Amino acid sequence: MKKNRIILDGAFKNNSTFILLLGLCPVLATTSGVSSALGMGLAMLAVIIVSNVVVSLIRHLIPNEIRIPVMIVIIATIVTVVEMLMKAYLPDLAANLGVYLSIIVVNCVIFARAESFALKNGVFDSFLDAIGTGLGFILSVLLLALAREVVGTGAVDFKSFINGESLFLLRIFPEQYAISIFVENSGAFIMLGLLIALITYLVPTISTWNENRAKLKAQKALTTNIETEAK
Amino acid sequence: MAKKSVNKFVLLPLFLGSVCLISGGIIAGVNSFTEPVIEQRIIDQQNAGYYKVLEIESADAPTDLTPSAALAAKGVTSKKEFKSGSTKIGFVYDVTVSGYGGKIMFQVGFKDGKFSGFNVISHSETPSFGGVVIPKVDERIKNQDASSNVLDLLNGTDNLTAGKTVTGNALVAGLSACANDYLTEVA
Repeated sequence: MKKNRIILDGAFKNNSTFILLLGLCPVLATTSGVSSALGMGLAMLAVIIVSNVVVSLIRHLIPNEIRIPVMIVIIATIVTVVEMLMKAYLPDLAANLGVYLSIIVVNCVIFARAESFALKNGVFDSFLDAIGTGLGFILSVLLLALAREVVGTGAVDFKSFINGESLFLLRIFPEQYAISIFVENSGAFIMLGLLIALITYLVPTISTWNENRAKLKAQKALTTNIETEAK
Repeated sequence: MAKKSVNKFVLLPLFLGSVCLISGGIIAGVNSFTEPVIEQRIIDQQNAGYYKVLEIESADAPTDLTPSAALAAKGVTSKKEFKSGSTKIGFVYDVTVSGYGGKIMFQVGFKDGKFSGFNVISHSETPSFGGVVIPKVDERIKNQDASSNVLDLLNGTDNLTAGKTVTGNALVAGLSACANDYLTEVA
């Protein structure tokens, strides 16, 4: 498999949030603001990269019968370490993410990639797969958070990871027109549903459009060939 | 065949045990350098919080009063009296109570017979469920009489359901214990 294909598949074709619908609990819970969503995404990226690389490194040593508990211990260790580092050096972000940081341990996206990819592939490929899946996750949570924050507050508030202070506020429309339910938990479900519907509509449409374009291109090339031969 | 199954019976737990040992070692190693940083941050937050909850700019060094056994059992970890010269300013209590998601560390201040402020140091409650009450405590208790019913203060007119969650009950118990102790001190 081509290296760039691994990344693109993880990020788009097998996007964990919008295509596979995996690990939705933290996606719904941490996307009320762009900053917390980005923090969650980066934490998830760090965990998935280390877990994929470690599992791939020791894949020949792990007995098949106990591969699941071994992977759980590895993932739990990485999440605990990331949580400790965040609490020590990024306390506001850790407080903002709250319990959702700890429950990365049970995020099925990380476990699924370790089980279905890292356990069967080399270290570099597993690393690329983690990058792709992690970036796909970050893009998904950012898209959802942006949509929720804009519709729910009428603005995007960029906050510092270090102290949680607002860096700058980009107002899109007046606050009185904002629909505040979208920054509440129930709004997360509604917005996620809307985005999934949009993506489910767009993906086949774009695919058909690409296919038609390719067909048209091929037809054009054939016509040009025939014309050249006729001359 | 029997030898193979015995090998598996012994080797598999051994392998898993080794993985757990290595993981424990890594976590202990990281904890050894992150714990002092976290502890120092909590101390800094507490020191800044004393002035915040009493709404004062400066005071003499506070007098450390040992909380009674009954107060300590309610989660009070320290009790400080603040003075400026011979003028008594007020009392601040450091409290750690058990919420739903773990420990809730907070400070509560009293002066002139009233709650003067509330400052949360750390918690891991679900923000949109039990934790919904935490950011509102300060505005709800500030300048209210120390003898008021804490649950009623927290519930307010929009009924925050403070008495129906583990978080709310823990806060009510901690705040009530401090208020009762303060009233005894000033009586």
